[in-house]
Amino acid sequence: MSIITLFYGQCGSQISEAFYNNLHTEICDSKKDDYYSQSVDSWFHVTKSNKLVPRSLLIDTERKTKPRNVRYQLKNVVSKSCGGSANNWAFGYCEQSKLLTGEVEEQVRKELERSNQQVRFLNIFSLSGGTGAGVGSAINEFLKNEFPNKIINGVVLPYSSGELVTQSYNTLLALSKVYSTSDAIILFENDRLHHTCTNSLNIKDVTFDDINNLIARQLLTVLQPLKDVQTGDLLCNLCDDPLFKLLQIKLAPLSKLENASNWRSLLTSISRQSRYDFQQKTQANVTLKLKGVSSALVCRGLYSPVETDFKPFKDSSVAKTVHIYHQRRKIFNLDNCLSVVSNSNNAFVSLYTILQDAWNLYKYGAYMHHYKKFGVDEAHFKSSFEIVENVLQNYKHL
Amino acid sequence: MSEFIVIQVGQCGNQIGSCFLPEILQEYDVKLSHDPPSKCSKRDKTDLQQYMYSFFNFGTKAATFDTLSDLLRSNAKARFLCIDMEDSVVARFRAGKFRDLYDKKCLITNYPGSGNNWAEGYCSHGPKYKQKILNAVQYVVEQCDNLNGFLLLFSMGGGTGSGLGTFIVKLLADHYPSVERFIVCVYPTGTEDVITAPYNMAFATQELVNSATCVFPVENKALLDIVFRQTSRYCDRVSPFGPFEDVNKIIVDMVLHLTSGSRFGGKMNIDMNDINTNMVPFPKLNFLLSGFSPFVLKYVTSKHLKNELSLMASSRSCQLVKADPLDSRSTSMGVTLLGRGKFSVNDMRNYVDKLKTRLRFAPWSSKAVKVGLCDVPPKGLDFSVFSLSNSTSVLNLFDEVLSQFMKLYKRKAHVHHYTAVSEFDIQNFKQCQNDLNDFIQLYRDVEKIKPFTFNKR
Repeated sequence: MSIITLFYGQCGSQISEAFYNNLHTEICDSKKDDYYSQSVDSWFHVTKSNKLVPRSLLIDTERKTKPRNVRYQLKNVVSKSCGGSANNWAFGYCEQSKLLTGEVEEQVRKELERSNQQVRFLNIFSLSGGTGAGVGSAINEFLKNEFPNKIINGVVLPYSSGELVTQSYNTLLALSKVYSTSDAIILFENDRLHHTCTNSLNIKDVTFDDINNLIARQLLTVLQPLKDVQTGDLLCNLCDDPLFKLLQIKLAPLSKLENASNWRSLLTSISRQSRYDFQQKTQANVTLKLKGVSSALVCRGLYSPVETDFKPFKDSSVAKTVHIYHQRRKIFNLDNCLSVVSNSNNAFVSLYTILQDAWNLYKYGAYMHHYKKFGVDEAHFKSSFEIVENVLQNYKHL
Repeated sequence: MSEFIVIQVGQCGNQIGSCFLPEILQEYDVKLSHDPPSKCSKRDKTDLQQYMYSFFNFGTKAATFDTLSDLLRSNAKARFLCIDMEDSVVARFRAGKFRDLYDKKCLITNYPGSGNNWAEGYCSHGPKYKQKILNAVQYVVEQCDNLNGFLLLFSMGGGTGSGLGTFIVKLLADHYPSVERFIVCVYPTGTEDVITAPYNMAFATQELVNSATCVFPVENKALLDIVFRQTSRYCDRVSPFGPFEDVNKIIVDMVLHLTSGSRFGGKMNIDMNDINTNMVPFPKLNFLLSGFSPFVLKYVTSKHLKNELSLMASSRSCQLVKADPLDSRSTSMGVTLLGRGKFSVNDMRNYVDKLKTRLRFAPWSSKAVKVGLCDVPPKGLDFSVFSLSNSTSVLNLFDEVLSQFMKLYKRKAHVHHYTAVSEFDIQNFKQCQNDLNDFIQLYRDVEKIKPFTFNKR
């Protein structure tokens, strides 16, 4: 199984930097065992001179934002330096994507030929901007139409207090497109990650590097090879029901200082992280009892977990199905590392807030003329509202 | 990397421009003769100077430039268009130190000026020079790989700047509709030395509302206040230049701040076209207030000062227009904060939160904040904050433009100078008055918008 990763826009390229840095430290000193070869197989192809080249595409509309010091040389950089996408989903989706799709197709086909296994697509982008959201959703549709492979999207939600003014529009429009094309969507929320950085990691001055690093680690713990399941299938399995595709990842331990002696203490540490959910709900004035569709526990560490370790989780868990996966190989040099992937109505609050923001702009017609310029009109907006609202309603009435 | 074409029109525009080029070079760490030797390492310099494409075309790009002569050796040409209907200022470019940086094809002059008459510039010089200007523009555009926008500099008071300047804006809108047009224009309020300035300002404003992407107005009154405040506070730092040099430097610094997000890298990039999407909620409301801090060439290092900068940048005393975006009577439609230097996400979020408490937002715009981070601080500083705001307090400016216009027009004073230009229609006066009133009304309407009571579902 291998994964072709596509990074879009400034956010994507920054995450790619963190992602490959983490992956590098993960496998560079590794023994050349099964785990290593599986891992290399899923992320890289090996050149004749034994160099590792990521199976990856970096897609951007502005060359300046390209990462500079990555561990591996990204061969496939598809970038047209045309001054960005103006923070406008419509510009990215309708105009910029046309310039890029041809080249993306060529590179994707090349990558597909290079791998002789089953392939998954992994798209990483932010929902707030123009390039990531706009071009990302256009390429998503393109991939869905052209290739039978499964598509996993890792999307980043902007700070709710505002990074840019049109973020709620862009998120709305992108999400409504991406929801139908993808087999699983991993939600990363800047607010939540920021909160984790300040509260659990004790970083005073949070930078984007810290946040991206966290995203990269969360992705890797879930996507690095596992014993009983093919890479990426884990995520798709959680999204069996096409109505429920939103996943969130929680990770413990976050730092070496945290007590990671046994699985049970890690589980406590994770449940401590849900304090944030509670805060968020009170802030947004939403009363919603936690309910889930399914969740998975990924345990990486020498000792295999026993049934009793996760009994409290299973008992309290609202999810209908709970999968447990175990990999003896350590990750990030941590003795034990536990990540919980859940498909639950926890995702509701942050999306609901953004939907409210978008609606708030929309009812006054603010900023609409920027979108109409590219043919994205009221009808388009209405159908997008409908799609995202339906998704949220489904989760709400779980 | 985004590229810009700077078009400077009229005496004022060209004088700002003459101050612009040395400032750009200093920002890119190219030594002019009187500079102290730079401390920049070779590597940093390569990093910095890769962004020089924003304002320059190169024959062959060397890795780094230390001095002006290095730059000239690589056949560099500034992407500047200098247009004036008289010869005095542009002639200085032809002879000055930077003469070889200007492309001779991009200097367009005439004799004897536009007689401080908007109609002369717009209706008579405009059509006459249309082809010549278009050719020059096309010549420069063809040398660009990724043109990001036109930057126009002119004054609103005179004849050439306001008349021909706004004509060029319209020309560009027709011929290059997909390229954004950013206008930095100087309102001569408070220092009017031209008796017909009120007419010129009004006509030019009316034009800009319709054909510019974004307008960054600058008021002489505000600039002089800033200069006075800074020099009286730091009396040992009184500028050796005349007041105009100082005033022009402030404008140049503003343009450099404005484009910095687009020219340099940063963790949260602001491209120039982002500004239009983020700051203009409805068509025509495209006059943005700009401000930045610190002004003085004084090092800012302490944490305390760094935190002060953010609110300063949006405060009244740092605005280049006599208006207060933080005024509680006016409505804010959007704010952009750009931090230059080492700012973390945390810093910026704190600033935004602080700023939000001081602003009165329109019902839809409570989250209308755009944040940007740029790695490269201005020359000689460690930190700076640049702020843009779209606020109804800009009405101060328009009210003044309209009232000055009416003062003259009520008595039909000097009208005959305008009607003497054959292509000018007397109806334009009435039309202009109406347009300005409509425009002011647009802003007033925003102030009146009440929150809707109904919510979805």
